[in-house]
Amino acid sequence: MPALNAFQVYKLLPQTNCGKCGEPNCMAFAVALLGGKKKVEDCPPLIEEAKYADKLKELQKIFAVSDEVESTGLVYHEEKCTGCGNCVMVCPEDVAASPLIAGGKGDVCDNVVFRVENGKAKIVNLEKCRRSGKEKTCRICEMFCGTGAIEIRMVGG
Amino acid sequence: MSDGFVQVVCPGCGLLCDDIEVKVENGKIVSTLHTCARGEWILLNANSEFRLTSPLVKKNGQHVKVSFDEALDHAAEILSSAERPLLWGWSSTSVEAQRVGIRLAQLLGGVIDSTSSICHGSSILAGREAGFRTATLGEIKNRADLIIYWGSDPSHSHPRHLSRYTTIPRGIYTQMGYEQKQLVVIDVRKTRTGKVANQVLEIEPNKDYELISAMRMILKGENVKEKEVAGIPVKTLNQLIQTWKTQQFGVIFVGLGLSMSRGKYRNIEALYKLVQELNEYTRFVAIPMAGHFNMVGFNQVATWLAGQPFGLDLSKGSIYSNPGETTGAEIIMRDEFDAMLVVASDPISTMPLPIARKIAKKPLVVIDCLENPTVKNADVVFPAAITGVEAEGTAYRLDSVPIRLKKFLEPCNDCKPDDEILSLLLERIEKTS
Repeated sequence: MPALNAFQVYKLLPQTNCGKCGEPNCMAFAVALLGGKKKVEDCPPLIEEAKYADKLKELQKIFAVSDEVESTGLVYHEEKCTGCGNCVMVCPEDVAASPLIAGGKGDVCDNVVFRVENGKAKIVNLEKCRRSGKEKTCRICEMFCGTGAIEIRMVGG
Repeated sequence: MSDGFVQVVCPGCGLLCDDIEVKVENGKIVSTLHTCARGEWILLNANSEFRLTSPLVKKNGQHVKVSFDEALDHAAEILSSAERPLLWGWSSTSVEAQRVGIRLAQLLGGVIDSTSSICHGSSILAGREAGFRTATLGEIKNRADLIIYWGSDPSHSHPRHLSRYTTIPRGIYTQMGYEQKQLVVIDVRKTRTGKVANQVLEIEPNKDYELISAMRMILKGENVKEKEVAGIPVKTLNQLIQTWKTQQFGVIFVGLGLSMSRGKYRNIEALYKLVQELNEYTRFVAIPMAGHFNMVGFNQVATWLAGQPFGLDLSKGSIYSNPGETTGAEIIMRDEFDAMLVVASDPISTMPLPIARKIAKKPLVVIDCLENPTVKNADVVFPAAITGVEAEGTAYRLDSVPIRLKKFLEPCNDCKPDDEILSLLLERIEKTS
């Protein structure tokens, strides 16, 4: 359940259906953008025309993800996080790393995906995440994140 | 106090998480581990720029910094010259301070009441009528497989509730964690906790009593004639009760949505009876979600010292308590007090405007650690050390388990622990009277 839908992205696009990006219309581009097939910079009018500067900024903020994150599709919005620790206690990798975490307590270990620091969850080792390996279907952290701070985007379908 | 990592107990909310680690450098908190946003905020109050650093006395409408001695004189004069002072607050301080508070109320012949009278006091009254079915959070973690949040949203009030004690952690008899547990949320609106729940019942506001009554009827095998109760189809209720009956261990966390909506303590009384009846089939408990970290503590202290949980009127020389008559908000509303001592609370910003106005007009003595609207209106202010950070003390978790809070920072400047300030005040009043 991504927090962002194609229509919300569409609203931030030029909505001229010029076709310069290679997609038939802006809605298709929005879908492609969400699916990770296109990048914000692939829309020429958005970059070239000054009147879209605000929209471009907003879009770049939404889609600002590092290459590392893209491999798992895991996007973390820190400003929404309340530090409840649900992600730490549900993540199968975190639970396997420490019996304390499995029992609901905080623990300091290095081989975990999430850790709560300073009242916010923090992604410590993204490479430990199951989604970066074979198990692409795991999205338990997103399911248990009540605030919508963790979002999993389906990259590449 | 030494620098480095310290293991502390968080005085953020009624959960009193005891797995918190804090990094201290040069007497300041640098970073925290495992705290939620709420706990983090409370702990970092120690570094706040709004900290009160010395006692203040209002002279010609302006706050003037004075010595502790002078402030004590002023406070003692205000309180001992009052006929019926109101001692308010107490939910965010240690049990030790609350004890001294009750002695102070006795000496002054005043009324002492905690914020539980506008919070979960009604749950205690209901418990007296119907009886408590309760368990500790540890037991819930290890055994409960049905968690119900009724009128409460822990992701706002107790952020770590789900991840530490209820739905997510794996216990001795709940090795599968969340896969083995059912989470049901009953609320009038969509909540964050509802987003992760297995089942959400969005009910109509102020219809909790009807819903509980219908559930009790269904449980007793009686026929509910209506098709819908509180916006929930009776069919759904039938299924709900059937599944609840077959669970191993159920727990209902009662929130303010139930204790402070229409019906107040009658709602919770009915709920406790439902819980009692469910115990014929399986183990079921109900626990009020106390918000402030030591709200339960005041009820405990007041009960063991005076036999009543809150709203103690000691002005007649004997103990008298009648919720609605001797509770803080009502006394202020009826102007039945002539001075006020506020400890670790901010009634002027949390109470409704008519009450706040009345508080601001009366002589006011405040013991607090941070600047707030109540402090701005106070005649005498004592800077307090933050309990659980700069002062140690005992606090009661929301399931009535006492936990010792630790001191890991030296209090800044003139700050003193609440119990010490109150003891000094008590001594001063004893001397002068």
